[in-house]
Amino acid sequence: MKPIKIAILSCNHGHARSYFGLQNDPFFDLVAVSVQPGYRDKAELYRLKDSIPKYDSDEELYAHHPDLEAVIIASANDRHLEQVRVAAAKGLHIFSMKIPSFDLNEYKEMIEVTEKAGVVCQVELEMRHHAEIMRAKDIMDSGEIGEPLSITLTNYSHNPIWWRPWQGSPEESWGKRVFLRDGDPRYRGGALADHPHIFDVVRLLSGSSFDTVFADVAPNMRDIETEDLVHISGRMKNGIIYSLDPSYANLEARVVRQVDWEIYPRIVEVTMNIVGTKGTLISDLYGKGYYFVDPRTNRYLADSPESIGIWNRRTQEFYECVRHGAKPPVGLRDHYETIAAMVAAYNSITTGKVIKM
Amino acid sequence: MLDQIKTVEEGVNKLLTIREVPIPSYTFFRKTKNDLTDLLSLDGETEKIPLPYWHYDVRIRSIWRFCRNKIDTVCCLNAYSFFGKDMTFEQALYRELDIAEFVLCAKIKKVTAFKNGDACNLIAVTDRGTLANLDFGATMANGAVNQCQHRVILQNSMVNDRVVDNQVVSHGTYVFNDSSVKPEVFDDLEVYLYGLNAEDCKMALYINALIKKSEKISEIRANHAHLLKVMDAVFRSDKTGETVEVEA
Repeated sequence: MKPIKIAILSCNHGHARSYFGLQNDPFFDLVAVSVQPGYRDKAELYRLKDSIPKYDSDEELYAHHPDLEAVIIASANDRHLEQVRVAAAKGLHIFSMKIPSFDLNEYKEMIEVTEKAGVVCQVELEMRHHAEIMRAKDIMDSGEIGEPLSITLTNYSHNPIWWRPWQGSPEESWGKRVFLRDGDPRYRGGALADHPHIFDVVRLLSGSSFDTVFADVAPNMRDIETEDLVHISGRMKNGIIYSLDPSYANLEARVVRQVDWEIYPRIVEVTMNIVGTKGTLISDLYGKGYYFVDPRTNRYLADSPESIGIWNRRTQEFYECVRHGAKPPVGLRDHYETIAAMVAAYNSITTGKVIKM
Repeated sequence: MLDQIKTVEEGVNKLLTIREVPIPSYTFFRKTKNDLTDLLSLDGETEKIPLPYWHYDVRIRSIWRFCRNKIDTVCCLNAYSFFGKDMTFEQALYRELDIAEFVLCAKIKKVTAFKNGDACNLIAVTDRGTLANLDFGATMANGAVNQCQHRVILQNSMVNDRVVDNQVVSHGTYVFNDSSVKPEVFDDLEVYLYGLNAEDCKMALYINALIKKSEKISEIRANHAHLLKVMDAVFRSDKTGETVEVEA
C-alpha cells in the first residue's frame, strides 16, 4: 500500500476539517494545507499536527510540494474552477466539495479539463455512505413497502454564515449576485445551495432522473441576503414524486468562531420518508444522538457521533480510484444532473413555474 | 378505578353535564369512504356539520396558539402525515390542508401539487405570504396510527408536535408483557374522557366545543367550502403540472 500524497486547499469550506483526519490515515500522506486569506484564525488548524505545513496560498503550497499527487479542494464555491484548472494542469487528482460550480458552463469546463488531464475527480456526497440509506434501498428492493410512490427528505440545519461568511455571500456561494425573483431583495446562494446530497439521495433511491422541479421560498428567519427556508417538490422520470426541504431551519448563535454556537438541540437533522403502495418507511438518516446540557451555555443539546464509514469510505474510494483505477462512485459527470436540478430549483423560484428538466 | 367512557356520545354528554350545559339533540356520524371527515347533525338540522376534530388534538391546538400569538413572525410549515388505507386520499388531503391553514392562521391561495397513487407532495402559498410544505400518503395498514409531524418555523423560534430526534408518534403508556415483543400502548390524556381512544377524545372535545358555541358552525361550513376549492386546486395542479390559484 502506497499512501497518496495529498493536500487540502483553502480550508474554509465547512467540510475541510472533516478531512484533517487524513493525517492519521495510513492510505494518505497529508503533506500540507493552504488557508484562504483572512481565514487562518477560523480554520481550526490546531487540529493538525505541527509537522504539517500551513500555507497562505495555493501557489506557495505547490512550490514547496512538487511531489504532490492529489488535492482536496475545500474552498468557497466561487474558487473551485480556478483551483480545478490549476490542479488538473499539474496532473493532480481532485477530491471536490459537494458543489463544484453552479455555473453549468464552468461545470462543463471542469469535466473537460479533468478528463483531458486524465485525473480522478471525485465529488464528496456523504449521504451515500450512511447505513440508513443502504437499509432503505434494501427495503425498497425487497418490495416490503410495495412500489415506491414518494420519497421525501429534510435536511434541517443551522446557518453557518456567522463563522463562515462565504456561505451567505451570493458571489462566493452562487458565483454572482442574482436576485431570487422580481421584487424580492434576497439573492441566490443560501440554504438551497448548501444541500445537494438530498437531491442525490432521491436520484440514488428512485433509480431515476429528475423530470420536473418546483421550488419556493418562505420569508426568511434571519436578516440575511440569501434564502434560508426553501421547499422543493416534483416528479422523477419514472413517476416517483419527491419533496425536499433543505432549510436552515435550526437557529444558531451568531458567533464568529464555531464555539458555543448551538441553540437548537439537534444541529443537523436529516430525515427521510418513503411512501410505497404497501406501506411507509420513516427514517432518521443522521445517526443516533446523545443528549446533554452544555455546562458552558446551559443549553440542552444533542450530538450525533458519526459512524466511521461516513468519512472514511469516501476517502477509501478515492484511494481506490487513484491507485487502482476504480471509477468514482460520484464523479463530475454523474453529479451534473444533481447540480442541474438545483439550478432548476432556483429558476423555478425566479419564474414561479414548474421547470421541466 | 374510574368508570370508562365507551363512546364519543357518552364523552360529549359527560363533558356537557359536568359544566351543567343542557344536552341538545344531536347525532354523530362516523365518516364513510364518501365523506371527508366525521359529521354531526345538531338540533334536527338536516345539513350535517363537518368535524375538523383534529383542532382539539392537544399538540395541534398548542401549535395554533403558539403561532396565533406570533403571527407576524410565522415563516412556514413543514408537515408529513401518513395514514392507514382506511383513510381515503381525499380524507388525508382534507385533514392536512385544514391543519396547515389552522396552524398558520392563514388561507391557502395557491398550490403546486404532485400526486402519485395515494401519495402527494405539495407546496402551498398562503394569503399571509407564508408557505406550507405538505407530504402525505395513505398506504399503511388499516388502523395504523397516523404518523405525522407538523413543524412551524418562525423568525427566532420553532414549534413542533414531535420532540427533537423523534419522527414517529410517541404514546403515553407502554406495556411490555411476557408474551409479545411489541408493547401495548395507551394514550389516555383527559381524565373526564378516560376510556376513549385518542381520536375519539379529540372528537368528543370538538363536539363539546361546538355545542357550547366555542366553535362557530357558520365558520366551519365556510371553511369546509373553502377547503373543497383548495382540494380542487390540488387536483388541477397535479393534472396540469402547474401552480394553481385557489378560487376565491
